[in-house]
Amino acid sequence: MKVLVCVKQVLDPTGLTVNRKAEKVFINREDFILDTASKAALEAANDLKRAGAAVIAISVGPERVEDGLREALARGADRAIWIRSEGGDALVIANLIAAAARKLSDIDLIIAGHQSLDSGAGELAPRLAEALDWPQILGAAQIDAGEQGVTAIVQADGFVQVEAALPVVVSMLGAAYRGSLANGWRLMDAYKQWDVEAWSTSELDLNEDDLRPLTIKKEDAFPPERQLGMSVRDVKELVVMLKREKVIA
Amino acid sequence: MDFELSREHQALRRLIREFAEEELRPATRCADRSAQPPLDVVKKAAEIGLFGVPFPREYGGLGAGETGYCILMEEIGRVDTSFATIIGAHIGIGTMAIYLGGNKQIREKYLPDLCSGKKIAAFALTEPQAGSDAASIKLRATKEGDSYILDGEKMWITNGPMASTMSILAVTDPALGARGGATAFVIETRNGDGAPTEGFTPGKHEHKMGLHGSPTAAISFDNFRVPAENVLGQVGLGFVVFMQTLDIGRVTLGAATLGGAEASLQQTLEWAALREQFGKPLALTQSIQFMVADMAAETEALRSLVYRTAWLVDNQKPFIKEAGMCKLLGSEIASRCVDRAVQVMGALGYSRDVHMERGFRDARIAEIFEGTNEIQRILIAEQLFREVGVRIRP
Amino acid sequence: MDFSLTEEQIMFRDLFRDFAQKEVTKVAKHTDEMEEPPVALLKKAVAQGFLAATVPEDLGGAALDLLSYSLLLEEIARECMSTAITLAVHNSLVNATLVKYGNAEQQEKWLPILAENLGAFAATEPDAGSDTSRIATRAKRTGASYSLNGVKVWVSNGALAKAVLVLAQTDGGPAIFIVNPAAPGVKIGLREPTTGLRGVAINTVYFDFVELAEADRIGAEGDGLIIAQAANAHLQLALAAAALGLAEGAVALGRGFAIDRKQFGVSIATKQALGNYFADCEIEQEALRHLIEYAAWLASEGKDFAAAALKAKMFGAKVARTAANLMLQVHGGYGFSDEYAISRLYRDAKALDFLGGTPQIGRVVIAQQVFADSGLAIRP
Repeated sequence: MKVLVCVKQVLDPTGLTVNRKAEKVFINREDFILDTASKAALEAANDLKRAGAAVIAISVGPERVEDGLREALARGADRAIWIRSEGGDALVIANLIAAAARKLSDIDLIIAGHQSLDSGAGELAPRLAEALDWPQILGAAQIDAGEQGVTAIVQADGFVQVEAALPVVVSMLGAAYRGSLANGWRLMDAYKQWDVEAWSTSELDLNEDDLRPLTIKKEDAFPPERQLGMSVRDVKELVVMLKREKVIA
Repeated sequence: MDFELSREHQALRRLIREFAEEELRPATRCADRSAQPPLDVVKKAAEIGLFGVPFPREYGGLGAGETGYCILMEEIGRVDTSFATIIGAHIGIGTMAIYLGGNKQIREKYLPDLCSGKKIAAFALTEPQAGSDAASIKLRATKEGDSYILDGEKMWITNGPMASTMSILAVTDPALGARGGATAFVIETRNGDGAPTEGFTPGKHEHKMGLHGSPTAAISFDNFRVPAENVLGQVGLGFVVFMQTLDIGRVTLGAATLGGAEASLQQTLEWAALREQFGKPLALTQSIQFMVADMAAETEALRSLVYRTAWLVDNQKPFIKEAGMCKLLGSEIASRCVDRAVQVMGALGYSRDVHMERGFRDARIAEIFEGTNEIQRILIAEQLFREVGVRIRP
Repeated sequence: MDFSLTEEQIMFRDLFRDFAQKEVTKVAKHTDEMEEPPVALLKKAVAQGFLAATVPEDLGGAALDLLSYSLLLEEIARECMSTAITLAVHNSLVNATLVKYGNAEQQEKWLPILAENLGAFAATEPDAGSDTSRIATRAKRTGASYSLNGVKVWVSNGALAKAVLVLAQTDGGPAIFIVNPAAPGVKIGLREPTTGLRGVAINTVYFDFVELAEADRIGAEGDGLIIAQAANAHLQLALAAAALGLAEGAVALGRGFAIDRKQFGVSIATKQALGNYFADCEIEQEALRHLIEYAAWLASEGKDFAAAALKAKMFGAKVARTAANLMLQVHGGYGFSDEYAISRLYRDAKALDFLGGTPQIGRVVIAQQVFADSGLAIRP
């Protein structure tokens, strides 16, 4: 079984300060780390290696993405592919990865993260499934896979067990990450012995439309501050208030 | 000059930080309260390769060099001094003496298990009457056929209670004293099932003011047999190996104290931003502002010193003087920083329910072990005066 | 100027030293290890009159002048800082307040009890440390009595006290009340696990609708902060004396160790670096002693000694911490071991950096004095 794992980096939240009053996010330290949901995806894929699966990690973005992919190798991926691209929204990224999956030709299962720490849009997996015309399982807490298909525990209204035949796109919850740490020896090998394959967008079978973002970001804004409720000492005071506001007679 | 760490070193730091925050931090309080090392955390650290960070890949290490090892100690030191002491004694002195002094056979025999953390190492030098004056050790190694018989005791041995492999310095010729009369050995103190090997007796755990999560004990040897092939370096020249090991160990002790200083600074900033008195956060008080500025300036200077010294080591340049400075400055800066961190918390910094309070009790030892700061000053002065043609003795 | 102690003061000092060496030394380690106040020792201290050290004779006390009082605390602290602090808090914060501000009924009722039992002073709250203006504990007037509600933290002697002075807000401003801890509504929390001073009972105290009479109020409504400040001034002198005692105790330990310990074939006491430490400690302790004597002299002359006492305490904290630190270093690895007493002194000394006020606040107070007649507002 060949598994493709989509990983992405996010800004390390410990390097950010959010000032609600000023409605600003301050980037005190710009460090990129692998998103937790990506780590969960890698962890799930690594579990499947025991059953003989081969794991390919893939990521889209500028040069710093290479470090994320080397970490993916340290976390068990057998191969790492970097699609060199600056910018692009979820649709573009999905198109790129779909094209890569087609190029790799015998991918049985794609695992992505569900709702990353930064945007949390959860768009990649559905758009990938759409582009490839594969079924999708979103927000999995646990998966198991074999030649017959994928069984997943998904957080819906409570937890539900879902099944699908291969090939399928699955997104893993960040909360599913059990904390399997990257391996030190593999990490050193990832930098000194192994390669990250760099693919440019022109190598992929895509046209200009596929690479045009659908969304344009206009601005960042904080949600409006919620007014805290009021507290009343007793029922008498509540009744007085309700009468004053003419809610009751 | 390129002051950036290499990308693999940055990646290594990320790996160790995740370990330190997710696995180590939750275990520190219990380790302190129970005075027991967190063995499950030790195991996890070993599984991901942290027990052999600087040693070459061919021996099972990570091959990350002295710089990588400094990163390890800094990240661990940020979270817990006790654990930094366990892993520091294991890598930096216990295993390091075997690596520096051992021939190929010894390295191939002992390093893989030590690098994988399957076995823990300790460094056995100090004795009751031989502290700063390491040359006055008494533990005897008497040649008998193709073995040596060890008799005597060692004191203050970090990891003493749990180590299965130790580097030990013994007197092989009492008449010659330190220069020519002492030999270093690698010995096995626990066998496969964890029982002490014959002739070895681990003593009771020392009760200490801090560093409760790092077990320290006296150990004794009675008719303990070690094969002659286990000599590290040359017979009679054991002091060279041991002093070399201590020299290099100082750099990474500096890195651990750097981590401690950084943690103190971070804690102080967060507390001062939060805590209000006199109608404003402490951060708006000049006394507090000056404290954090001083902490940050000292920490920054220490960081440059430590990583430059690591660079000297990794590039085979002389580093002994600088290593001593790392240990000397680092220990004093860390003590000052943690003192400021608890001071800013007022009475709360005196409560053992508070993480930083533990840091306060743990930090003090750094000015004493691995060569007291008085010895460091003498050694540095010795190096300096040698440069102008004067020889001084401790 | 006559710097010598009077004959009586010398006699007192010898008495105190004798008591400390005979009774205090032997309980110090156990007290710290078990984190239990030395109750049996405190009973002996009662018999010696130490719990009414500065109470005037006509009120049943030992009527020690402040210099003799400081000698008492110095000698005790030399052997056990926890015992010294217990006595200092009791005498300076509780007894001294009752003597100075209590009315005749209050003195008659409480001083005899406090001559045989410990008292405590509850001021600090979670949100009110250095900033006492933020206290939230409130004594609400209900007719002729009060209802006390609130939480006080870091109350020294809390668990052992038979009387607790409480700083609380009233409609007329902050006031001091004297509370019987056995009264309904008073709850003493567990001992705070501390770095040092482990022999001092340090507890959180909860007040839950505790009923108080007007007779339980010391001074008037609105007098609270003034009374607290006066108590604190007395405490500064006591802490300075205890600091001197701790420093001397530390040096004695270091000196003994340095003489006996041989390295490189000689006693380490002969090593110049260590000799320097002893010299520095000697100078600081000499200076501290004179600061204490001066503050005590001002008090005996009926003059305002608060500023001098504060300086003595602030300097004392530094001297004690330095001595404990340097003497721990002299001990080498043994300094970090619980088997040797010096690490206990090191842990105990750190408390002086917040007991009775932090040096950060102390510097503001002194800066205010320096600029007192300039019309400028110097704020913390």
